[in-house]
Amino acid sequence: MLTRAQRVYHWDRPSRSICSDRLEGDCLPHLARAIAVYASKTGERLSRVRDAARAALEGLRPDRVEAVVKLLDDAATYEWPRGGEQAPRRLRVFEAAARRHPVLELDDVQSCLLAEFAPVPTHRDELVASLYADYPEFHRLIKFPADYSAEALRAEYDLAQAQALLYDAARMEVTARTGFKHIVQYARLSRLLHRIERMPGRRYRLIFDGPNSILRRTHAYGVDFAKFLAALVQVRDWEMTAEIVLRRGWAPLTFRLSFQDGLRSSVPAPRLFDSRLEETFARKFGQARNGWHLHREALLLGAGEALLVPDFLFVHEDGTEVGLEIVGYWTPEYLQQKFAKLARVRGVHLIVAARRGWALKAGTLPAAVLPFRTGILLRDLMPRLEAFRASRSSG
Amino acid sequence: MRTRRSLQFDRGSLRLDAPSTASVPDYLTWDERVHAWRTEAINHLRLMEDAAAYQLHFHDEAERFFDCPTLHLNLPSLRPDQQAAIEAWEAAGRRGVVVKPTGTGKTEIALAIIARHQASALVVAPLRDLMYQWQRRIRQGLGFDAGVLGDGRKEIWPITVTTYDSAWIHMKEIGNRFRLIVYDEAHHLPGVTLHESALDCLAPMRLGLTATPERADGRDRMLTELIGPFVFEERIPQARGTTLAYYSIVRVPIYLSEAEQAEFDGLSRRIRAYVARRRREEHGFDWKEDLVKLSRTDQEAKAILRCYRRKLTLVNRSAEKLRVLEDILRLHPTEQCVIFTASNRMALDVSARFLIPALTAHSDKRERNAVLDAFARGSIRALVACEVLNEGWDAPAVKIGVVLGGEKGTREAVQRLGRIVRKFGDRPARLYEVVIEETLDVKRARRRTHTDAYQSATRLSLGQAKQIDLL
Repeated sequence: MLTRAQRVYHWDRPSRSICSDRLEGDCLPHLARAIAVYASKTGERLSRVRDAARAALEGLRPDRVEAVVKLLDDAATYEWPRGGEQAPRRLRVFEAAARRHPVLELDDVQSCLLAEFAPVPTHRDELVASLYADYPEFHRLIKFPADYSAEALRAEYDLAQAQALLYDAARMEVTARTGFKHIVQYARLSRLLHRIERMPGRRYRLIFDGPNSILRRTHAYGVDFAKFLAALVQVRDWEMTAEIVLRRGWAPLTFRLSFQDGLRSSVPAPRLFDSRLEETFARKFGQARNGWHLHREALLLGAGEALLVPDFLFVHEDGTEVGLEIVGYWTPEYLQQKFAKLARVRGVHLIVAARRGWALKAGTLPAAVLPFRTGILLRDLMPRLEAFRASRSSG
Repeated sequence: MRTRRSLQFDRGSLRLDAPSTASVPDYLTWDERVHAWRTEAINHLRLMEDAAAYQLHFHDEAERFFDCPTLHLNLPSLRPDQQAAIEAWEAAGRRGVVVKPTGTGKTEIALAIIARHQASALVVAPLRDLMYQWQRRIRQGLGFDAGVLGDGRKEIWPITVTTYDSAWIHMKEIGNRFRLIVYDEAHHLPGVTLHESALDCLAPMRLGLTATPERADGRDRMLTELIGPFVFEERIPQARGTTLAYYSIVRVPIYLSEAEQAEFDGLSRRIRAYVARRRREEHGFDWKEDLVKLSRTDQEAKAILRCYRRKLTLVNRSAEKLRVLEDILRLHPTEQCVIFTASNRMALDVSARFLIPALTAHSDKRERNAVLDAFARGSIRALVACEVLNEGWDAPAVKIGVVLGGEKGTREAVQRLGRIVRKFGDRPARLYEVVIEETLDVKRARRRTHTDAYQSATRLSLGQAKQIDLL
């Protein structure tokens, strides 16, 4: 990830909006030249590789250069004397030199160095590089990925700049229609707290921040937002809004992104189905049956402090909605937690499909339990769905 | 039957599980996300005191302090000024800031407090070097190997040392484990984000240590809220000659070499011409702010900024500075000496030229410890540092300092002076300031003279210093 100093953003004072920098297509030749520098400079010192890349990026807008160089450095592999041997070697030289302190003549310098750093470089710059070969600026470039393209660098730049802008985010709102399991999973990994609001059109607004956010405007969760963004961009059909406070006392600026911005990351994209069981069931049911339409992971439920995303949502043409959560075979502890979570869900129509052996344990759940042996049978499912419609019309 | 509720530490805040209808002090906020009350961790003691008045009955699960480990004390007896500082801190409710000049034993005050109160403690220092120095001092004085949080290590032990940055990152997880928190060089705490570590921590005992509490941004006022009141104050003029050594400052004016001066002048001309043109085009063009802003998008402005940086490099890495350093080292062949530079590269240049160790931000902990130990043993006669030894580092026997450059203003200058003025027998301390005439070095040197520490010093020329040494 980039540092604050490397980020580039554009803000519009009248509309109080801000956006992260994106590289235009005409930047690609500059990026390609910088990549060529890294590809051709194996064996060279890091500081010189960077300087050469900066020169190759002369035509790029100046504020973008350091971020591009940082991303190229991240892709490169450097080598330096490891194993902690370099520092003791230096110290032995310095202790030997201390016996003749102050060492002023060049001949004395050379003779003190001879025991540890032969052959001793004569030029001062090379002498410094030899003594401090383990310091970052003297690391040597040994490898750069041959297939690294200007387009890949551009994608990394665009995402990294968006992430870096989120370092100063006080909170983040995501509106999504799908991919909730992926969103919830990565929000949990990022240790963010949430509030959810249902919106028209089976969309949800998720508001993310951290424990202290209600006590003070804090940037403490900015890095968590940035990490989360890398996962969010892998989902379809989302919009994000974040409040950015660049300096204490300044009015917050609004940062908006959506899946249409085309950001990409290396976080694995969510799979279409979690298991073969779900895939088989979805194929068997089809897109619609008897007036019921099937949607994948389209319902978001609050279960106490946790969020629950049933695997499927059935929406009938008359507006009845029923969630289906499939509990496959897992460890007893997992099932216990799952059932405890389900027990906290209130006010929704929910069917829990559980393997027959475990279904008995789910007997007290506030939901219809659908036991199954190897796969979910439509003849068992449909009456349960219809029962919710019946209860809706009678109620 | 009354329900027993719980108070928990939740990632830097306190979470009280009580209904939204409960009567609570006004510093608690209802958190709809978790259906509980929430407040800053710093309010723990206050909440415990207020609970009875609000008839709040809860089980305190927030406080999970480490027990103080078994200590094997090897502490020096306290001087009256140190004793007075501790008593003032205790009288203020075991919270407060002690202001004492560098080198007057602030570390001993903190160690004595840990020992007297048998408290688990988190010590927060501004730099990794100082964190390791605290670890060494705790080992020597309290006989306990403190954990290190930061620099790639995550050892959360009953006494732990960390940096301000790491404290900010990790306090959300560890803010309920320590009874005492010590902020060394406490003037760093009120930073825009760093101060949050004090809010996220529920330590009832808080100690701030600093020689220079004032901040240019005025945020030092926050220290009272974050740590406690200023309980003890001693300034350099009071301490000079008593708890501090007598010291003098020697200004050594030099000039750039002919080649350096020619390049410097060429760069200056180019910058001046650019700024003059810009000012003709845009009234009120500001050399600092506007140029930096423009250099983000404009190639020419970027080139001018590079010229300015090259000028700085010429001043900071001038060959003349190495030459005059040679003279100074010749003047003190038998004394240990510490040299301060403005850039890492100059530190490495000095190191390679005189074969003395350089400590910079890139030096790892093992190397720093090995070098500082060798220096303390006397097997190293001089060392050169860029930034890392400016604060907190102790080497009382070192009485000669050389400043070859510094860009961080008067606080840095005072802190550097503080490295050599710790009283050690009757030996006076001397700080050499090498200043390149007709460059921005002069302005920086002039700014330093506005401080108490510099005004209290005996000022000498290099010639006068040589004469004194001949006597």
